[in-house]
Amino acid sequence: MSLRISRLAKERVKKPKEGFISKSEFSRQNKLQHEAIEADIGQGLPAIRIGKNTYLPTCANELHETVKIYNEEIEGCRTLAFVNHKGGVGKTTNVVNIAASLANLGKRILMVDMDPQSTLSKRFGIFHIPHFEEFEPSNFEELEYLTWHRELNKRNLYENNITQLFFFYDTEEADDSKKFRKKIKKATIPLERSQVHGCLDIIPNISDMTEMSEDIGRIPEIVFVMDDILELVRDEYDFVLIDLPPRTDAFFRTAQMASDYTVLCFTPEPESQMGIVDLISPIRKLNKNYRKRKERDIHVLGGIIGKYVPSANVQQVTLINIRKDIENTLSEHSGLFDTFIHYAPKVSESALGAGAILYENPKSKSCAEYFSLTMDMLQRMIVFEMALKGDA
Amino acid sequence: MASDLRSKLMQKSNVIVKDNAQVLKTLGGGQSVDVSMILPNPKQPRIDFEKEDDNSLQELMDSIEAVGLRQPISVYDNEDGTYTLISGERRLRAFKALGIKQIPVFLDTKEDGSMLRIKALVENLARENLNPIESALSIAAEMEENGWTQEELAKKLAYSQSKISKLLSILKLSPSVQTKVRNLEYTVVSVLSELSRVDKSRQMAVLNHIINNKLVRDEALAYAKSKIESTVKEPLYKGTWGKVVENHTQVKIDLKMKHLNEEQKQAYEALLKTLRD
Repeated sequence: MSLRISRLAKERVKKPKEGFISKSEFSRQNKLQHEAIEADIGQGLPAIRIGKNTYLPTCANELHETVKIYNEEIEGCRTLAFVNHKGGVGKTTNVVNIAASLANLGKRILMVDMDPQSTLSKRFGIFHIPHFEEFEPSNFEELEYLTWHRELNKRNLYENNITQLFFFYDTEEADDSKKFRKKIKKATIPLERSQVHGCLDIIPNISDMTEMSEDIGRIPEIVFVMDDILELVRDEYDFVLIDLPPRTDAFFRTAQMASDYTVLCFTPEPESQMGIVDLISPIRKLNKNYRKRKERDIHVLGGIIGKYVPSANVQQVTLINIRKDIENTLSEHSGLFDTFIHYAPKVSESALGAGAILYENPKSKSCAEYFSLTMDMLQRMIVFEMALKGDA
Repeated sequence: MASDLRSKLMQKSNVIVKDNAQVLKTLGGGQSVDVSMILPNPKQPRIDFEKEDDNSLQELMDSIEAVGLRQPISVYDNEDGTYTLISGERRLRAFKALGIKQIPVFLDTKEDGSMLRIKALVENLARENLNPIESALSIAAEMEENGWTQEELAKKLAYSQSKISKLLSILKLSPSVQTKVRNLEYTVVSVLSELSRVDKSRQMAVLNHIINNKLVRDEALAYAKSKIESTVKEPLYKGTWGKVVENHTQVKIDLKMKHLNEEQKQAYEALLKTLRD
């Protein structure tokens, strides 16, 4: 019986175990010169640097190939919304780590923090500290911290964040697209991290905006606001990733309308599964409006399983249920991604300042899993857009 | 490699193009089946439906009438025109009471019986309001039917073994206490498990004390424990060499080897030998 459960739960493509190999090992396996490898790093070939050493994830070759095909097939910017009706299922974790993987491949990424709790921004150390100038740094780390916050202070987070952009949209000034674009650029913070080859930007949110954001539903035509804002800057990015609060309110609708793809986030727990229906029906309701604007239906790219513990049978059973629920309400082509993100305490540790696991523990298994998951997502996009073209 | 991956992806996209009616409209409607064709789940752990008060069913019926069914029920397709219910007994009963003929469902494929029950069990255990007796009964039945030990079942459910053994010990409670638990008057499993070790004739009194004084969990545990201790027997023998304690299931012999004299050591070794052979 137990075998049966595991077999059902593991009905997915067998992949080599996620991990890292050294550059020399990679060069031997693929009969490639070191120079050739170096030339591809940051051009679609994933690689991490630790000191003088370079390591590549085990999926490096296939991922590189995938990016090549992606570049040939897909032009322009793609926007992805990460959703679930339930909190704590790893939306923010997925956004930052997928963004980090894509940026490592040389892609230009914009992350948008739409959660009033602003967890995404906090992960990258973006939050407001009052009176920090009085603070006397006593070591290098504290000095660095102070410098970063001085920098943030110059940016005036109160005025420049996604919530303010939403309300700016409703003013007359916003009709001047040049002015609006400038305002967006002012709110955009570039994140400097060592493993980034493209660029990694964020439009943050701060928790001081919570009260204000309650009124967001009153902005006229709210569903189109996010799309209109992003449209002004899409030419500068390859991907926009939107992190959402665990609700299906105005934030959800406007982000959904701005997105090319919806990504569902789960943990294999019964509560997480129960949210599926609550999520699908609002998506369904929005679809009519979406079709008018984008001339196609909302497309759910797939579901991510996070915090996976293979030995727990309750997870296996829930997993089967989640899989069936998704495939029943959507289609088998929008099912769970093949790569599961295993539970690892290190993933949550990276929430404290560094942002993604790639910047905290680059050589960890979780980091390799996120590269592999990113590959699954790119492949789904390629398949879907090939089909769209074939259909047209 | 390059052409391999590309052709693999092309193939996949061709499949999508083929049934694009299904896929590009990824948000198509769900399925409905005839209410009368749905057979009850023979392994349903929730046995106390009759006792459930009509109010909550009425609430569910009102909500279904007002906004429809938000979460379809899950059924297996028996492939003979009938379906077996996996979860959603209350929703199904509400539909029947309302006289609605078609109910939205999620279809599952047919699986073997033991899987059916594990699934129903997992879904039900995840809910809070399944009373502990029902949980315990279905767990006990599961173990008996499949010949599983507590440890094996614990693994399958991702529960700790102590949780399972605590649940099972509830079944040892006196019938009158069990009725109280069934009526959800008291449902704290750890306390009930402790209570099961109290002498049967006194269980009801102890439980009443806990309920009447609204003891919180830790207080209740301590109180129940204090009532057990008085039922434990005094040591049979006690001396500098150790002690022997006997209760109705086991004998505990606690020996301090360095305090034993030669004769006692020989007697001990002889006893071991007898037990071993």
